Amino acid sequence: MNLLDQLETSYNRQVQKRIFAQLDRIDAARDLYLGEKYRHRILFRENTKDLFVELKREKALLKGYRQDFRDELRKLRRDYLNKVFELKENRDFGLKENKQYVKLIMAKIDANYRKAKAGIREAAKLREFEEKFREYRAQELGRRREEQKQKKEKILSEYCRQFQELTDSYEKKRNALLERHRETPKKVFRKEKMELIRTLEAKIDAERKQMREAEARDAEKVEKLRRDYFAVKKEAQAEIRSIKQEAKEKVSRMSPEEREVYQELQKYIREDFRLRRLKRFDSAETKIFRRLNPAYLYVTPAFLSAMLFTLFPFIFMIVGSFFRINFTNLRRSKFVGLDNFINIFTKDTEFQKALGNTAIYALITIVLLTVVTVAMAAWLAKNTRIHNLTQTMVFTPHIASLVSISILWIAMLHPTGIVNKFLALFGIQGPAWLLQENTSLFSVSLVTVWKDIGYYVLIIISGLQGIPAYVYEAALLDKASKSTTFFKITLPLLAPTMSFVFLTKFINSFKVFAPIEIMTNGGPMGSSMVLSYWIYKVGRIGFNYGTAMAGAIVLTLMICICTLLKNLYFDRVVDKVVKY
Amino acid sequence: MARIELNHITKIYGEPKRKGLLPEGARAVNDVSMVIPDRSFTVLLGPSGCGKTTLLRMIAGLESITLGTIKLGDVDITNIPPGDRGIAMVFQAYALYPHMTVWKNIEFGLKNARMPSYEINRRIKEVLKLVNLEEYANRRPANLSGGQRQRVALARAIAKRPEVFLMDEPLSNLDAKLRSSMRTELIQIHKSLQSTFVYVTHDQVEAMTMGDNIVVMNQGVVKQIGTPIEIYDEPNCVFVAQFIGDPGMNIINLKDGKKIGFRPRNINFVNEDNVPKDGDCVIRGEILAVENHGSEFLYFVDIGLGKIYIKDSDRTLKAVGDSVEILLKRKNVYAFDEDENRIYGDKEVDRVYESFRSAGNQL
Repeated sequence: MNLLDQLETSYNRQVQKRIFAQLDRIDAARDLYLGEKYRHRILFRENTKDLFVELKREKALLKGYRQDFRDELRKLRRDYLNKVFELKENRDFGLKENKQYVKLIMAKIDANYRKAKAGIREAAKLREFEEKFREYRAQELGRRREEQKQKKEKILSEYCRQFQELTDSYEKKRNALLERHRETPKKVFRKEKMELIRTLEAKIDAERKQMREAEARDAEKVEKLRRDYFAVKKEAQAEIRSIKQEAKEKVSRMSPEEREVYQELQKYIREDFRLRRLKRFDSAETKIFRRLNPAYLYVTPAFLSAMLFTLFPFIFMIVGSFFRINFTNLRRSKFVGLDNFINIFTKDTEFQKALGNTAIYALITIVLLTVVTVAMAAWLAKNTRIHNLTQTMVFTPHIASLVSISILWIAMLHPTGIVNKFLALFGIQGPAWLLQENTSLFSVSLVTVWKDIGYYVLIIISGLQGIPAYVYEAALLDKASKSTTFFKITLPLLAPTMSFVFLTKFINSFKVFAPIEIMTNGGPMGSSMVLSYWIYKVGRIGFNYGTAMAGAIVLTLMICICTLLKNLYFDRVVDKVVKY
Repeated sequence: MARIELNHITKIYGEPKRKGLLPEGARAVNDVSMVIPDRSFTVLLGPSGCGKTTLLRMIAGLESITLGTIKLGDVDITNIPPGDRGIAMVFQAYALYPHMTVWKNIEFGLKNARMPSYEINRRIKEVLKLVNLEEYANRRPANLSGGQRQRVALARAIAKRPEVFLMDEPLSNLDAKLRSSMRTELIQIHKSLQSTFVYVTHDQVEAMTMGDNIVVMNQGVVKQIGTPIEIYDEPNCVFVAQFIGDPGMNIINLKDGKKIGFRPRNINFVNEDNVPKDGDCVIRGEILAVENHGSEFLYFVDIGLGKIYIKDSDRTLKAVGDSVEILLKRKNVYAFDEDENRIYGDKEVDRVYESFRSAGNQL
């Protein structure tokens, strides 16, 4: 017999059906109770649905009134600028072409001349011809020049005319928009909207009140249903228990073969129960998340940690920079206003030096890193064994800790260390690197670059691999040499990757701390003092927390400004250059 | 002279185990020898993976050649770098330089050829006019539509004035309407330029409409070379017969290993217009499916020996499940031997036709 048919007629199914009947009883009682409980609320929600929608829309209108106006203006301006840009490009293109005009004609004339000259044998005739030609050429040149000039003027005047037209129409539109905006003053608009909103809210409140009253009226009935529900639940659960007990006893009395069949079928029965449970869970889940956007739930941990470890300390730092802080007893801290800032900018020469050094350090690092990594990546992009090996070797320093690398390089850059010994092989007297004022900062940046090469090479290689192969094939067919391909094709196409990676690295370089702390301690004579290390020194060693916080704010501002500039300008430029 | 001569071209992928040995990878192209005539529009046609693109790329120099030589005119170009071969290629994905304007895209190759700027300007203007893109010279490829990009790619190739144009499925990224208009444009360009075109496609409509010389390939081997009419009317093997035509030729296996073939267009249902005469073959079959193509109907019919397609413009609809009588005339029959090669001899074809008829009548 088929397993499924067997299942339908089996004892297991009978037990299950009885249990399901009890569960259904519970569910029915619960539905009755909950339906009665929420009847008025559901009614209220349905009655006020349209009102709420309207309210929301009106509020949004009120809020977005100025924004809409601004957006419209901005769009108008953007369109205008785009058109002007296109106009300019066309003009430049025309001018460039015009520049070539005379050259092209003269080349043709000269070619004709050479051809004609080759045909003439006699010297006298040749001289005559040459004279004639010279005259003709001068005449022609003059005429063409004149034409070229006229053309140029025509292009320019045409450009001016079109530009004027564009500007006029733009201003007209803009003025119309401004006029319209002025005609409905904000106050009037706002007043109207507020009134509307208030009436809507009043309507909703009335409905709500009605709902509350109805609920109060029916409270007793609901309470009775609730009690009924729990009574039914208790009863049904007891019933289920007894059914299970009965089944257990029956199974214990079964013969071994029967029991085997029973257990086999019980697997399917269990699955049925599981599915029933899952269904109820699903409906509960949808009920919850229909109200609550689950995104809030997911974002909570990150939000909390951001608050606790970033936002709160940052605010504390801003506040602290206006105090002379006493950490042993915060209440004894003294408010000093802007004194901390004034001090570091006027009296603290070390801070000023650190400010300059930070910028210099970031610049050196980024230039070195860019040149080395791009050159290296271009070489390493191939996928052979030697290239992969080199790539691994170059990447290794990135895994090592910066501390151990710093210590390693202290030894290597020692005046009698391996670097200077190597240089001595070629007869070069190496500097004292970290111990010398004019090389210390450079040495530190050399070390960080050495550590970072592997990582950035990887990123640049992935950028290189993102450039489609057919572009290179086209270049090959276009007879481009290796250097032309690199400078005219690879570099421009790599620009988006490079700009993002290296600008981010540049901004991050402002925060350099560990290598300075380990290798130079900001010395000698403050020649490698950078902002982060200055903050650490003033705060943790000198206990001038207020001053350190002021310095930290300066550093934050520097980073903010750089990030802002990058977002504003560079990203946009890159977007324009390359779009696949 | 832009006559291309391929001598025993073979492409095997992979690295050889030792120097001097052949690599042991897949054979993409296997011992292909042919001549592409000067000023012809030659189409390499075949299913995907048949090696047609590899062959084209070998002619372009983008793919190394394992064995064999290529001659362009009288010059052996096997080992000449791609830029110096005097050929231009149009890629399937256009392969425009995304960071350059249309003008610069075309200019790039000419500049690399060290051409004087006034000549470059003249040529670019000429080709832009030819492909109707004069107003788009300052645009970047991202701001062009698919058809315009394709035309830029074409212009870039034309500006170089190559002896040979190679095109690798240049129309496959365009929509159907644009494709058909670009097809006519390409034919016109070929007529006006008078140079050799080698065109790769898997689309037989493109091949039939554009090519004056079709090379059908399969599994790295050339199956047949001929004009479109020859390829359609006189296929030399089962593969070509089934590949060309939509749907391809019906092939029925007979008991002695021989095969009989006939085009879906060349068989009819028996009715007043098509009355069987003495010696004609009439088969009984059952309709399994009907497709309405507007001007005609495509029937999928089970005739016991196999399943065949019938294309008929008879508009009296026959339904699925109808049993029908089909008329097959002797003149429309192709015969193939055990190795799937065409049998040409009249007597032998007669014998195949007879054995098919007797097998059909036994049903």
